[in-house]
Amino acid sequence: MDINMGNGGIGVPVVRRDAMAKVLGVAQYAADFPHENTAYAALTLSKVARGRISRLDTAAAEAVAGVRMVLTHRSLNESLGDETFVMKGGHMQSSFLPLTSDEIHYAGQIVSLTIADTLEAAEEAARLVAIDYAREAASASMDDAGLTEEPADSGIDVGDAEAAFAAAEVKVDATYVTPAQHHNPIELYAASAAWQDGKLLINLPSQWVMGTRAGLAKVFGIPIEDVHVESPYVGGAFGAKASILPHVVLVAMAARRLGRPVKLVVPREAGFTVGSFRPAARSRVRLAATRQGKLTAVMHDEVGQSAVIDHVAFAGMEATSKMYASPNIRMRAATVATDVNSPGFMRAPAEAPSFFGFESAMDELAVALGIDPVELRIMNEPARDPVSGLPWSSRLLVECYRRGAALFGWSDRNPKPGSMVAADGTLIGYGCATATYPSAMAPSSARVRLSADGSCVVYCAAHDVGTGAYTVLGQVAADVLGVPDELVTVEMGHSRHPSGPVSGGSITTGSAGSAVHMAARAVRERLFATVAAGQDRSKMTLADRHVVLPDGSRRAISDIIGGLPGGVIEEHADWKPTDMDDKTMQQGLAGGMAFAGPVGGTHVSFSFGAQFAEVRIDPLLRTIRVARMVGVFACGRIINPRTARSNLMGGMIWGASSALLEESQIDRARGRFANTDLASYHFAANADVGEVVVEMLDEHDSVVNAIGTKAVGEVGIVGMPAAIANAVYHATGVRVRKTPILMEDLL
Amino acid sequence: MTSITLTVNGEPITATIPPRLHLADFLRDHLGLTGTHLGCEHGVCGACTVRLDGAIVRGCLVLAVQADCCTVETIEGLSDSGEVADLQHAFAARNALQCGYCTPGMVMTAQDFLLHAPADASRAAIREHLSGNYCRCTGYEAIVDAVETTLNARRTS
Amino acid sequence: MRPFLYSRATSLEQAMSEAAQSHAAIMAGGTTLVDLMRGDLTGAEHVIDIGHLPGLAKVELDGPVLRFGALARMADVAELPFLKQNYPALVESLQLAASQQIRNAATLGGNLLQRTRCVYFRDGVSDCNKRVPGSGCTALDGEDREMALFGASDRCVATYPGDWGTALAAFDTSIEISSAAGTKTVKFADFHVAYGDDPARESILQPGEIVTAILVQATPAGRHSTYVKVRDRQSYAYAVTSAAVALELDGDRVTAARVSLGGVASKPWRAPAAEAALVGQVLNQAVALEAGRAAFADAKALRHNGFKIDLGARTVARAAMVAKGKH
Repeated sequence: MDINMGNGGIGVPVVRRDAMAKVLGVAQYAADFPHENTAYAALTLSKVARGRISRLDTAAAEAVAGVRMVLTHRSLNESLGDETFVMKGGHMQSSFLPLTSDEIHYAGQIVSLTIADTLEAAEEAARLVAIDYAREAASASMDDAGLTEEPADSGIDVGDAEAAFAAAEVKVDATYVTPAQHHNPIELYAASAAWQDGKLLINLPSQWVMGTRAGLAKVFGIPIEDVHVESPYVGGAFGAKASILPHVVLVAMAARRLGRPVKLVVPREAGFTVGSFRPAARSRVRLAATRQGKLTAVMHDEVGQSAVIDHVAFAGMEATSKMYASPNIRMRAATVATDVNSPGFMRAPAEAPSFFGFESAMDELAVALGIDPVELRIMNEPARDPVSGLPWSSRLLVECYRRGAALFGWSDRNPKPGSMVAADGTLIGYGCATATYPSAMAPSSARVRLSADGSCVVYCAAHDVGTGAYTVLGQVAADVLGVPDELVTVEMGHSRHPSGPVSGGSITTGSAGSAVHMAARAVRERLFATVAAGQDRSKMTLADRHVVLPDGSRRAISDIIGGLPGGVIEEHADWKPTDMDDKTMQQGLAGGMAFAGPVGGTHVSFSFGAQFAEVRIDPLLRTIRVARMVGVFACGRIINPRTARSNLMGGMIWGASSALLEESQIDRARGRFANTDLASYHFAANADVGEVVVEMLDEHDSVVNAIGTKAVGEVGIVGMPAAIANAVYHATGVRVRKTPILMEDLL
Repeated sequence: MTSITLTVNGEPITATIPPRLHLADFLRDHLGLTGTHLGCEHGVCGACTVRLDGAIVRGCLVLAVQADCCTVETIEGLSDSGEVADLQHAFAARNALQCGYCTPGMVMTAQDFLLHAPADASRAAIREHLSGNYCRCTGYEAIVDAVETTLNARRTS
Repeated sequence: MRPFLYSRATSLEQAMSEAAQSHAAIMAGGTTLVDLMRGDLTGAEHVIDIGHLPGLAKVELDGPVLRFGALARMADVAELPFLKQNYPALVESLQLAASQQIRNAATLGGNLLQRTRCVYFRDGVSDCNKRVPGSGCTALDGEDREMALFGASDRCVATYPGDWGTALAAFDTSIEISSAAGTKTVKFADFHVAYGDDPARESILQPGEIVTAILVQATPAGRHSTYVKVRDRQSYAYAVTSAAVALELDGDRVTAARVSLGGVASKPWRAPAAEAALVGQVLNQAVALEAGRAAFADAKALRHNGFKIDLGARTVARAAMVAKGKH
């Protein structure tokens, strides 16, 4: 089939280069790779939330025909390298690796891994592993009695917010609650491990092949070069597939002991505790303003759910503190440790919960002031970062609001709650909220090869988790080298490639893209140097597979490269963000977590957006439908409008889903997640989504990086829950300060 | 073990399998047809959608033995025959896929919609028919665009 | 999944005979049974597949009785023009259930026998009297938003999840059951057993008995009938509350009414108090809400499902007004 890929280059809406593989069903995900003589694994999980294993009997499981091994804390009995939690500088999803002791730290903890010749036998036997527990009392909810809040950091203070709040004319003081949520990518967690000559090959869905390689090398005490991590396609990740999940280590261990490839697909219900989750959070927001609407104090206290086994804090006040101009700012973050699997990064981990509260409070302030919510935000637009005093690398939030309001038809809004009613009695509500996301970056390498036929290959151990990175990184190279996009191939998702960053924090395009840009520029320089040594290279250009010389004459690339030894020009680049030192860069390129930004030495860099929602509420049954969403974003230079739009739109739908549906219910009496399947963990189905309109402003940011890109991946989610809650208030007059907003909240 | 004979993507297949083998696992692990994906293994997400005797079903809620004497069609079959070429093209053109994991199942269900829908079917009808196929990324709006584009194109061709 | 013996029945007689053995399970579409077996929620050691038996999938008007063969597929029945016109509540209950893929496979008989979605039953871990009699009911101090207001007890508070069963309860329905002993019909109201009594038992069906048909007495109330399903999502979710209402009308005055409730009870739940509140009245929004409130007068709420008393009443009211508007 033939699809016009366009001419390539930056800014062109090129059709994604992985599209055909995916629609035809031939794209290979981790569980699709065949290994000869594979054995299959199945998990057994803890039924209790805290305690110890008091009795363990694997005889019945081992008696099942075809069972080869039952790995438990007893049979593992081997010390593994001291690799640690990702947020402590390691690569593991948790400090605690199951099967390394008889301790139970959370419900659903892996207590055995059963390996058999067939999946069916492994699953049958896994159920027969008999375990008794010495159970201890557990608290899986941060609302349980007797738990204490611990400060997570030293906070942010500008001016004297308490005093300003006390003295203010108009104020809002409210607390907003968001629940635990799970990523639930449609592709299940999986791992397939094979050892050959002491080398480990592992197929798994990964957002971080370099980190996974470094971590597994440490765990198994082998050279980093002897670990190969392969993850060409990832069936959704959302932060869940970055660090090394415990089953990955156990599957690799089982494969080594059996001397045979082992494959495990983690069932959906097990994924709730084998992987991480977005922890519950509670935000108290206090805003004070003059009667004219000028903010005089901004205070945000967020308490987040953490784990006993790992301290995790995701408070989003680095972002909320920078939203609006206020002379007085006070931010505090705290955590409550609970008996759960370690929480982790999930799509806008810090920002999504924080902004639900913060942007709901802004709406409450607008109501209290009698000022239009869009205008309130515009009149408090800060010229510089109100915390550091540094300038923005770019900030077009006001322009986003102006354009968004026009697209949405905000001027039709009657501000009186409950005043807009459709002919059939349906209540209509309009709401808006600000979205933002930090533009951080990480060091990255890349290699670019240009061949005589004009074809180009980009190599980078980055990942396309659905975002379009395969396409976008190719466009960066095509743009520099002036080759048509269909001649570009991008190789990613394998640890043998030049080091790429973790695909998290919306950094891939800015980081890997900058490295590709650097490598492609090096290729171009060599091309120029080869064709015309001594001429002014700044006056030379590349177009249509020709070098255009300063005098306007053209030399075909095929002629130039064809004459070189090997018939190619290939360049490797190691790129780092401007403010990063070399040591940190090297740590990052070696598979460590190394971020720079969003606050740099000279500027502060965030993406921004204005988001609008129209809800329609059944006057009798109080069911809520999101009829329309509009989002206008300023995210720097957009390499590919087609894929960028998808990311932003997908984020908005995710945000709507979060606002109205998603909650991992915690059964407090038993200390565990209750709704651990897709029938009872609700997220948006197609029918839940109304019209979605996305626009990206043409923003030029010459500071952030050489290609001018800012974060795109996650910003689309951030304002949506508050925009919807604000619309619900507008439709009904009922202020719901928690998500999900359910029909019973409006009865 | 039970012996079954069925037609998969037009090819006659005979296999001896345990009764507890799911159709989706049979297709993936025994026949290598890995375009049928598994996302929840209990009939909710739609990634394993295949056709059984012409009707779309959940491949994870059907035992392979239930398909004995039946006709099974998967994304590979529909792709090879060209039956959904226009739909696949529309998915690519409208960027109706991101991670792509739900995509084969989504194409199977979308084609089922197109085969049975009236020519003036609404976007709401498309959404309803596709609501048993989850896209977590989530590209629902673009997916509806792609199906609507194909519906219109088939109507005028 | 545990290993099991599979046999494909070639005759009803063979199926009935094999089903009489212990630990046997009948499979039709398999959408419920395969899911339960994967969760190790049945003790089935022998699965008898009746899905291909001929003659059991017919839907016909047999004199004054609508006869639905037990093996008719949900998707097929939902498309029958005669049914759409004359019994919209039945069609709507099928259309609003599950997904196209499941409706294509699931049968009308099997649908009646689907088991509760209670997370504590499904998780295979929690104490559950339905799964392990005598072990206790975790939902009593657990997550209970989805739990029942009617037909529950301190042994079980789960809800019956079906839509089709709820709609059938709004009609004069019987179930035809076949076994080696012959064929019998039982009143639909007697077919399901409220979970509160004996949680492990959900219907009167005995080993060796197979549902072969669903019989609905033809009624003019079918035309003025509807099934309203309130759910957290726009599509593809179990009912938080639902109601089926079938009316006979003289102008705007209700002369006969049938009301049933879903999402709130441990079996398809008829609401005679709501019916009484409608009959004889000129139907308007106020009367409809009054009937809804009557339906829930005896509801027993747990900690987090009390809102369903109000929401359920509103659901009945909506259904009554929609039913009135049907032609």
